[in-house]
Amino acid sequence: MSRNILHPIRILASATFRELIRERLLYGVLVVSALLTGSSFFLATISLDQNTRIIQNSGVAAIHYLTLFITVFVATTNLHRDFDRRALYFLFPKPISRAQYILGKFLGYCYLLLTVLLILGGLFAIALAVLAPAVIPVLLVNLLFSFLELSLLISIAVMLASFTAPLNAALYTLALFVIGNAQSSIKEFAARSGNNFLEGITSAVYYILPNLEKFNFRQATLYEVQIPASGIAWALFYWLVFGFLSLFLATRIMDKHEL
Amino acid sequence: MPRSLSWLIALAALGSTAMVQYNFDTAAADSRIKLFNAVRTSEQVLLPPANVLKLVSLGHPSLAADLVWLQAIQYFGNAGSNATYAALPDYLETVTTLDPKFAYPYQLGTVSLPFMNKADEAIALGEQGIREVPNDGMIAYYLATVYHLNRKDYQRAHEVYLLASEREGAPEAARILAGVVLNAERSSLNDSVVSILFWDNVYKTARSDAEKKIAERWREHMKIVYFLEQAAAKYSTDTGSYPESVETLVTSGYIDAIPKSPNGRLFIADPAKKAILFNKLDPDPYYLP
Repeated sequence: MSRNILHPIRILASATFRELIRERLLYGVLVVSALLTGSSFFLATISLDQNTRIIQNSGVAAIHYLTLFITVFVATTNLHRDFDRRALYFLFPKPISRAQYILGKFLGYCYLLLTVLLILGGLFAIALAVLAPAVIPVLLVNLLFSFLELSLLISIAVMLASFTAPLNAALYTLALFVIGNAQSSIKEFAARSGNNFLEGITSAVYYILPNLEKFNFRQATLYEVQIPASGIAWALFYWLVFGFLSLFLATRIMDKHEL
Repeated sequence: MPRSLSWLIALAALGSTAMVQYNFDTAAADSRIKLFNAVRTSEQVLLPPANVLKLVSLGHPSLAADLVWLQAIQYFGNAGSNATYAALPDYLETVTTLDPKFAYPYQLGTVSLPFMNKADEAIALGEQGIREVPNDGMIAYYLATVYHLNRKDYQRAHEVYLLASEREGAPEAARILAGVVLNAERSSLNDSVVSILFWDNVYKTARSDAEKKIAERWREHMKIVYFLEQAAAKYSTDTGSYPESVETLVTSGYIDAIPKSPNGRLFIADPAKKAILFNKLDPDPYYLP
């Protein structure tokens, strides 16, 4: 029975991944990403003895930002293409539910995310092996948490793309990425203002919108500070709960679509 | 429109843009160089607040700190010989607010700011540094030297030298200097002897030839100060008054000649303070060797 439920999801995820990996845009952005990541080695040469940290910070940031752009834009446009091409007309009469469809697409995007992270991370690791081998374990930890953060964003992008235009969905997702990474700053600004109303609003934003700072252990890895197990556990639990919420909402919205 | 004409128009337009670009560059070259130099040597810091930079770094505050750090280095290196480095404390504060564990800016600040008449800023930065980066002995060591040489707060210098000696990376001189400043606190040593011992330790623990050369020059310079102070003290005992100038020591036969400072300074006898002083130079050969 479980095989029957999971089988269409696997097929759909694999088909989505194969479709996305052929996107020409992807290769262009990958080349730009590799160049930007490589530029971190140049920055390090003008850093006054701080080569390792500059290479680490700029390389990890370049991979993080560019993977975000690739996956969010590709995911939102791909989902919408299914609607445009009327692909769903052929899909839904088959024994596949809306939930399976959403989960299959989401997993396909996650395969893509993992592939992009591995390609960019791999290229960066090859360069690091020569210039700063000590940074490689740190890079792996950061890639793992980048995967969690960006896959959560993909689930949100899927939810948004299920009811709005692809460009809108991509922009809303990027806006949530900005807010998600600035939650503590926003809360701090509100607390400083001393305005109760503003503090109430920011508290609501803090608890309702995604808080991506939970996946940010970059400074801890930079200074080799041990990451508390509870921090990792809560980050994983948050990823599960928020990811489930986004995909559940996407399924409910898909249920409302008239095909 | 014939296709060949379209190409011709496009090529002519392209040529015109190149010509305009060329004329623009040559016509306004002087004013642009002036503008470039004005910006390069400006003492105005054009830096957004650290909290805003943290916000726009999108989860990468250490990267934002690195970028401001690179800018700070450019500012430091490009400033003209008459620069006051007024913006350097702001740059370093922004970097350390974005990434409080980034050790090097604390070290640079505590070493360089006192030479720019910014000892207060150096102390504030160093005190923050010893709290935020508890495993770094160099920040504590440099901070102790500011208390020691600039503030002459020997008690605090003693405490911070001891702290440095317990941390990683501090030179062995930290423990020795902790003792030296304690002696100074108890007035068994005068300032010039403390300085000679200090620069001798810096000389022995220098990591580069440039650092060694600077330390050696200052050590020899302070030895001359000590030598002149001894002569002036003898003159005072004999005559009952402090010499009006260092030349007085030569004319009255207490010394043969005024030794030449390796740092190019002039020695000044100050009867009011009963001390041998030396002039400040601009640019200072200490940080512009």
